[in-house]
Amino acid sequence: MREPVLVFDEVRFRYGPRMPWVLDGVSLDVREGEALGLVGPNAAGKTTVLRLATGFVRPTAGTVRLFGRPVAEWSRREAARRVALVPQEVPIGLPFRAGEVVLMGRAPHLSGLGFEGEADIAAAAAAMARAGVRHLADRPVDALSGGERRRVLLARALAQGARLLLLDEPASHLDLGHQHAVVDLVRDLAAEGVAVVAVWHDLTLAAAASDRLALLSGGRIAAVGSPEAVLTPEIVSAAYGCEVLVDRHPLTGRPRVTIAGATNGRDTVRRA
Amino acid sequence: MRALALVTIIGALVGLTAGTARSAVPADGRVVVDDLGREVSLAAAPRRIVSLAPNLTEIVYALGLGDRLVGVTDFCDYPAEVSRVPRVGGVTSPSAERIVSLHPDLVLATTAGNGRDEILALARLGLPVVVSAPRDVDAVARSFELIGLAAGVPDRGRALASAFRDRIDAVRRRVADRPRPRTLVVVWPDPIVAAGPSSFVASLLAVAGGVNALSGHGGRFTEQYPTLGVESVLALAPEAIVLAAFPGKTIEALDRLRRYPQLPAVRDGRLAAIPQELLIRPGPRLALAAEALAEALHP
Amino acid sequence: MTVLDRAAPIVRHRGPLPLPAVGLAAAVCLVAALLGLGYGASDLGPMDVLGLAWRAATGRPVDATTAAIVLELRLPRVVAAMLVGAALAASGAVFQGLLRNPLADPYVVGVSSGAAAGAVLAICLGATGRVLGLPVVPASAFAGGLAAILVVDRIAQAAPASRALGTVLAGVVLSSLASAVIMLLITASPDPFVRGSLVWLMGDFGMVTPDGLPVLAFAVALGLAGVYAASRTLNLLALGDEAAHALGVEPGPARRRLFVLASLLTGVAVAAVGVVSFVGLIVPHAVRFVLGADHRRLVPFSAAFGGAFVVLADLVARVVAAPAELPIGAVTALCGAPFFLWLLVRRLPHA
Repeated sequence: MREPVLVFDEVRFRYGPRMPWVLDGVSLDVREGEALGLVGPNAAGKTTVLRLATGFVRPTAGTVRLFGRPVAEWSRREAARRVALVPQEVPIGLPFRAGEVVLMGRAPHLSGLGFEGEADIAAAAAAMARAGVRHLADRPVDALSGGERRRVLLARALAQGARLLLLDEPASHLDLGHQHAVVDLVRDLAAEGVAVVAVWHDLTLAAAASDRLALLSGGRIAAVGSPEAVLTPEIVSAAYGCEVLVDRHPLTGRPRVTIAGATNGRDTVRRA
Repeated sequence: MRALALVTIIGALVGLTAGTARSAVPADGRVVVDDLGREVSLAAAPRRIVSLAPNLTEIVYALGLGDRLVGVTDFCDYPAEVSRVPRVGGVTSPSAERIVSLHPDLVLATTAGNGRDEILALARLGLPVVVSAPRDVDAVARSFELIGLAAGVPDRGRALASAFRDRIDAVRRRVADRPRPRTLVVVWPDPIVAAGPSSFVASLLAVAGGVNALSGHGGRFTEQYPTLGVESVLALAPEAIVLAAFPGKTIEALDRLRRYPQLPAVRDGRLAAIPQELLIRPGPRLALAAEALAEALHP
Repeated sequence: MTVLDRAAPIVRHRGPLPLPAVGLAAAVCLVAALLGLGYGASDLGPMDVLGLAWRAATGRPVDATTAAIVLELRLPRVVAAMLVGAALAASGAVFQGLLRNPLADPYVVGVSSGAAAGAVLAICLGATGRVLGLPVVPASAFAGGLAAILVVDRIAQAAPASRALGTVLAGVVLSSLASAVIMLLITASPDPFVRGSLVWLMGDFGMVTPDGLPVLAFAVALGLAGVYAASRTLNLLALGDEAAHALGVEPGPARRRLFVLASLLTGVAVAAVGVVSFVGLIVPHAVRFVLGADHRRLVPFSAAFGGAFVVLADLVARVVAAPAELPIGAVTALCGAPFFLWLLVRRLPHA
């Protein structure tokens, strides 16, 4: 049995005492070398799950455990050596070059005012190559397109050398070719023993990339299991509020989800 | 409260300069005590004098020592010969570097114009700085004696002071029995800055037979030169107003005042202007100012 | 090394301090100091200064006047200018990084004015001595500056969409408020010995007393060391709070620590010589242009070039209209304000 890398134990979370519950009793576990896909409608709490995993926010109730220890017990640097995050939003106005940003991914491994050594630079270069942005190293980040910037952030996370990678909508802003490259990257990382938890907007991509899917709806896990088990028309339409068709993707063999109609409250509007 | 602070500051000044004063000038053993109580070592007959205020410059010339002046301020304009003397800057912030480079063996400063920090800095550099504090007309006379003593001509200093006192006493006698109008002395017209009861200008007014419109009032006007709004002037209702005349500003200022016929001074036509270089400069020509002021208030 | 490594290096400058740049920085500082010592309101020139140094070094008697001018008038100013310039430039780099705003500097965001208000308040209350060994006026200046930056940061956090301009606006308003407080304090307690408000609003190196220098030097050294030690943290914080957190930094405490250090640097500088504007804006930008934005280089080089810049600005202030002295803040503003406007115009389309 592979080691659990991330465990959520009946986690409940809200941003303030009078705010609604964002997560209302979420339990899940992710193991070494496993790719878990988080899916669900907007504002279901998917990004919050990632924030709880890094410790950026603390659970209001329940525990989050990283590599067996509660998140709160990890020192920031220790945790950063093991967990990497690629956030959804890319900050603008950074005065740095792409290579510098990626190299900052090595920060958790450096102490005091130490400067990056040959090994760190090599790791950064390899990470950039893997993310397909090696040629952009000397360009200022601000001069890159949205998609290029996202891939630079991905390279930074790879450079961290973490055993748990958290990706918040890794395929957004990327064009088709790069979207599939991301899916391949997730599968490769999982094969290398890295645990990957990724939030997906597109269910078909989620199915292609993940070993297991967790469907988050209304602050709870509505379904968890293999992509085939989770992506059924009934489960998906209940969560997303629209009619879907699920078939088999001819190339990946995984479920492929297509929208069939929109549910308007009670009535279903069928597409012609 | 203010006085306490002033005394504390002066005490600190004394302590500070006593502690750090070094003389870069060969001391002939002659020590002069200035108006701030500081003991200053001086040469017997200083030959290189720097004056840091226009009134001090006039005193030096009146003592016949004009040719020993090596540095004056930009505002020193009397007598005419002073134009050939090198300048060391303004009155509030003269250039320490310029002063030092002139190798003075006597630097004259006054609390009526020079900044405390500047005086301290010069003293710390080892320059012999003699400070005069002309708080009232009698102190002005004493300052002639002090400066005469410091410059090595004590007899001339005493003579100057004596002549000054005679003229002042003459003015006092002339107005002795006259009714004393409540007078506002305006030292700057825009905004209106008046001479407060603690200024030397106020004592000049007393000599000339006037009562300061700002005195009384339960000690409200403790500043030497308070700024007043027009409303305050109307509330004070002075019976006479005397302006320190600055070139180009006087006519305007008089016109502004004439817009308020409610003022007793305007109503009765008791408005006068006296050149600022006479009225607000505590030097030998202050006697002239006293005579002119008396003439204006008691024609 | 592949072709790619030469074409697209991961980083342009490896290692901490590129030697040529260090040499250049040291040379610039030395030249600036020599110029500052060599020129002034009197006719004493660089040759006289060198002559003085030579005579002193070879044990010959020196002319007292020359010594007085160079050592007691010019030297304290040059030292103070170096320290103040270093402090303001470093704190400018910190504010630009923490607020993620290239327009930020202690003056623009209102920290300098807040510090001045704190200092004037202490002076008007008569608290010019020491309490518990700490000199009150610089401590009060530090508190005023810190209060200002906390307000501005709060505003910046609350309005992320228009953060860049919002921060500048908040700084402008805070500066006006602080200036108003200073004017009120000066008018309400018209101690004839209180220096004119112009000094506090426009800076004056003539205010420097030899006794004040050790405090300034100690505080600036402390502040610079603290900021330099946190340079990597600054790099990470510039990426965003969540990213910094993911890379091993606790953003809240780190930001607070850096704000305190930058306010300390600004506070002691303002307490010593009044408000000197735009140094923290111009110098970090110039350094960033040449050496990149990595704070591990940006901070020390900004400090060095900031010191040289202010020494030269003070020289101009002393010499151009001698024997009168221009306020140093006017000289730096003449350089800085047009630069600020240029930066603003460049940014506007992207805002």
